[in-house]
Amino acid sequence: MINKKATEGELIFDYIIFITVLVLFTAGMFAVINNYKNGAAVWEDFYAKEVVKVINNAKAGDEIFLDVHKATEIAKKNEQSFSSIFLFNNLNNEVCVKIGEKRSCYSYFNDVDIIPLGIELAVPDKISGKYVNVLHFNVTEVQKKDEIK
Amino acid sequence: MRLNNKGDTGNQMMSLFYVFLMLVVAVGLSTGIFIFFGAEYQFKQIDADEMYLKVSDCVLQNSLDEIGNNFYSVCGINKPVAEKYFRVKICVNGNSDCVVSDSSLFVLGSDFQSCVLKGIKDNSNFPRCVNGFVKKGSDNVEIIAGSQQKIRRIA
Repeated sequence: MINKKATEGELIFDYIIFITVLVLFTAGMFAVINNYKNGAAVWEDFYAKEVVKVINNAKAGDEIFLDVHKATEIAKKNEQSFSSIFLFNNLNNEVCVKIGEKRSCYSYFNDVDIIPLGIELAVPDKISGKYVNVLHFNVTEVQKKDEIK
Repeated sequence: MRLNNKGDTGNQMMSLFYVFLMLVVAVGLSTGIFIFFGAEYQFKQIDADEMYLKVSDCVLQNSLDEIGNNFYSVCGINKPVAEKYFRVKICVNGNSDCVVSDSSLFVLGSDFQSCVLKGIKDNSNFPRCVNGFVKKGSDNVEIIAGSQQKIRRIA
């Protein structure tokens, strides 16, 4: 009888440890997978670099419209606000994109300032005929070194 | 006593097996995710190409003296960004190879040797470079432009 109780106690203790470890393991794995959910990190990387490419080739006075429909779709799935997807930092000449948990940033060497005019929704695409969301911004001469969101 | 000892050994062996199984699953899952999503969108070569175009345009549109004296403002290149992530070298009528030459019109960064190494093509940790010539009047201008910028993930 005494032996049996001891065995039951040990068994419960073993199960508690096993379940605790299992929960920690599952939570860790979920965190890793969640970070790459929807391929958000990959698309952030892509959009940050493509926007930088456009800015590097631009000249002061240019007005840019860029199809960012995929980015807005992923941001919506990840419950991110459209206004916080693209951040232009004129202080560091940097473009940051956030459509997942983290933010991806890349720098442009062209010495210009960016005036962001937001994301325009459901703009008709002349080539495909579909309605897409576009990023709209102006390229200007360097004016003042501050952060514009 | 002996029986109990054997039982404990069995339990401990099962615990080790349990931990081992979790490790196998964790390593397998992480490897799969990093292979599929981990690779960065390769952009250094495009970055270097754009810098080369910017500098070559600048060389064609401005005097070499102006470029030598005030490269960043004349060419419209942001100095802090260029110094942090790029390397540029401009040689005029160089008798020797611009990569190793000490006499140049303008130098930004160092270690231009790694630009011409052929063995580094598959290694993403090395910079990507572009090397070309521009004819400006009677001068032969050699330009090397390279990029070592990587995406920065911020929490």
